[in-house]
Amino acid sequence: MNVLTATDTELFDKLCQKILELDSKIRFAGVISEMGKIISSSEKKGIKPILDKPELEMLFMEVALRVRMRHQFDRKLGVVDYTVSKRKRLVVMSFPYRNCILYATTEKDTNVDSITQKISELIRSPELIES
Amino acid sequence: MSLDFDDNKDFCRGILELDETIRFVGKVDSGKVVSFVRRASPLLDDELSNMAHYQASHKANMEEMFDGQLGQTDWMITSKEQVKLITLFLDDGLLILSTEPDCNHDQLINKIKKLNIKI
Repeated sequence: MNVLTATDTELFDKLCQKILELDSKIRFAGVISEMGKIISSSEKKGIKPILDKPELEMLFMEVALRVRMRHQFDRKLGVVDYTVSKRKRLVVMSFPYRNCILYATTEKDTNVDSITQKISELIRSPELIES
Repeated sequence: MSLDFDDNKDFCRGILELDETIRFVGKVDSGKVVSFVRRASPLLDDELSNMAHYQASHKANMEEMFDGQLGQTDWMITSKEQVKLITLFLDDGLLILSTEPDCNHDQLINKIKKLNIKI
């Protein structure tokens, strides 16, 4: 990916914070590089993280790997808007964002459709992130 | 208990009839598509289709790496411009679906759950 500028990381920090403000069920928002490295993140205050740092690093690598796998079908099926995994303990989401991946987790009893729409609108509208 | 070929075909057909936005339903067992039905002409050729099915199984295996901490996966959705790809984790394998992009996946998953399929 292109080298990130201070403006980029500032924007990513704001984006992660804005995502947490979208819905009280959102636990975590992070921007991951296409190589699976975390660039920026925000976590809801007061929650106990489920994964420790090495586990998170492994998870982000896995997310990045999957995003690459999905590109194989872009020409026939179109580009990915988002992916969601509903798990027993939480919901995991990822969205393509610039050359990176936006990763978010929510509580398990979440209205998935509503949150994916809100996040999609936010990442399509940079003016909303800056506001 | 695993189903035989005819049972699996009926099972897939039953799912296909639940919603008009469903394009394809397949049952995957041990990484192989054991049965499928489709409503629409395929977007992928056979080779890419096989790869997509293999990927669905592979992704399901990758999901299991974090089952201990995050809990088992009930379902996964990839929303693309042309289709939604839905994978449901069953007791005896995977149910893979492709639907029109405007499919209401929450509603569809609830309809499938009402068939008494354990997810």
